[in-house]
Amino acid sequence: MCGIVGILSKEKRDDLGAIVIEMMNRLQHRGRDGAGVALYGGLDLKENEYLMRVEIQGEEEDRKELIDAVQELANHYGSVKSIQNIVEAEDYYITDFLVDKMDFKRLKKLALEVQGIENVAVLSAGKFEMFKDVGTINQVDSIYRVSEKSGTHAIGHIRFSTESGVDRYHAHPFQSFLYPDITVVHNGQITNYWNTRKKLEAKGHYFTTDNDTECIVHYIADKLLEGYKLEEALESAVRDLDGPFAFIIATPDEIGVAKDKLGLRPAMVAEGDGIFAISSEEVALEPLGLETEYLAPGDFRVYRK
Amino acid sequence: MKMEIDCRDLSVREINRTIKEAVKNGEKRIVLLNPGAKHYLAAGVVGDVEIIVKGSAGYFAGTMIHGVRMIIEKNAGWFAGDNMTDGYIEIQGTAGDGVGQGIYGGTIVVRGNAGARTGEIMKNGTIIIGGNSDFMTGLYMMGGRMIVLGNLRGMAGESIVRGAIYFKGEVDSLGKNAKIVEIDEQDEEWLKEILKAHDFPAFTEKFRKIVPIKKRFVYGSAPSEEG
Repeated sequence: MCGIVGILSKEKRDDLGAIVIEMMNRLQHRGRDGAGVALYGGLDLKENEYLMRVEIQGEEEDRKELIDAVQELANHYGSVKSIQNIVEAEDYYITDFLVDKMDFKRLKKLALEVQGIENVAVLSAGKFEMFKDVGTINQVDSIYRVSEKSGTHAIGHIRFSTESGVDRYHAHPFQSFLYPDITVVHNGQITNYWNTRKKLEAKGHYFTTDNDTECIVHYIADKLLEGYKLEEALESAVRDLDGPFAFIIATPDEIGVAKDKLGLRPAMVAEGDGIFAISSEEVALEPLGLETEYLAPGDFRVYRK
Repeated sequence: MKMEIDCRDLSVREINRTIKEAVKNGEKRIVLLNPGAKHYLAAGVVGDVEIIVKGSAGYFAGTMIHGVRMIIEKNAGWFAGDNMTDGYIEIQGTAGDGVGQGIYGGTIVVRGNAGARTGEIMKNGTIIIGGNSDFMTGLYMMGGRMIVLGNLRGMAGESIVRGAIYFKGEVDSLGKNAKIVEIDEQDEEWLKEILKAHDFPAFTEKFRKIVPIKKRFVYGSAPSEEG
């Protein structure tokens, strides 16, 4: 089933994380397999600073070596400013590498190289933060303290898995390294996933999972890279992607939503007081007290800061 | 008598249990405060009672009700009135997809727009949409009557086998087994009466109706108007 939310504020808000968690809590009935949030505008990074969030598995000794290996690579492309374990579990760390003297092209190369190290997985890399894991949104929040974060916009996902594995990597949001800081959350199925994936792979793009949602973010990123506006990319996605779907895309300063041609997945939007919000159901938008509107089949919207 | 239920801190199960208990005790008017777009409000309630929802309702509002008069003062999510057998539901804002799915009787009025698949597999009763009705209105409609004062989006009346969709605006496209015909005097009288009764302008000019081409066909082999 899955539930999706998105929110964008014209101004940075200290309670943005708390709002997203409240919205997602109200959609918890749509699935308990996983939950995730991509949160933008809360990191206050300088121009050449980027955050790479990495999962490192193995025995404790091995993990320390792996951190050194990632650091060495990161220092090759830029300069590691700080390393922080934000989660220290029995057999894995989730570790943030704050890297200076970077640009997005080098960050992409770094992320793909780090992804190639055994027992290491890149969870996100950019100027935003990604929090995703198995379980409910409250479980994810208790690990990552999303509700204490500030920011300008965010997208979130409650997962009921109908496609691919139940683990941290298959939880949404998904990121594409084709375009800076682009992420997606999705409710539905992309039935022409393999054909879409083949076309994107033929253009040299790299998939990290076998989840159909991942092809949406690469598809949109590919269009943006070609110079299309987000509205045009969404219009094209509604035409090219088959199956029942509603998805929300986030970029550094936009969120967009699109719904399939047959209207088989729910999506509604709300607007007012410098806030734009999107959800699968009105129940998640209700605390915002804004006027709500259902999206028609094949409809899409874009909101900007 | 009038009873108020503050839904804010109650689960849907607690709300519906309270409603059913009150109806059993002869309550005639129940007001749901702070409904918070919760799902399944008043699901399965049977009885002569008016239920006022002071806000939006979530999915399946008034599903399987019988005899209830339900007023939703804002919006309703997917499948409002699903499988109701008798009674009245009024949605004063907009309705999500599948409003009135499979209804056996009663009347549903939506003052604003309705989503996709309005009146899907409805068997009897009446649905009135004050605004537009979205994609595949009347999908697999098996009976009853629908009135749409605005426009109908694509594939209207897809695989309709019985019943009629009266409409005033434009139709993006017709579904299989659906054709548009002019309304007759009987239709006109009925339309005037029902629109007036539900506080809509009772002008019947421009009304036409969508009816089945064939009343019996095997699904998947429905004829189109072009033949």
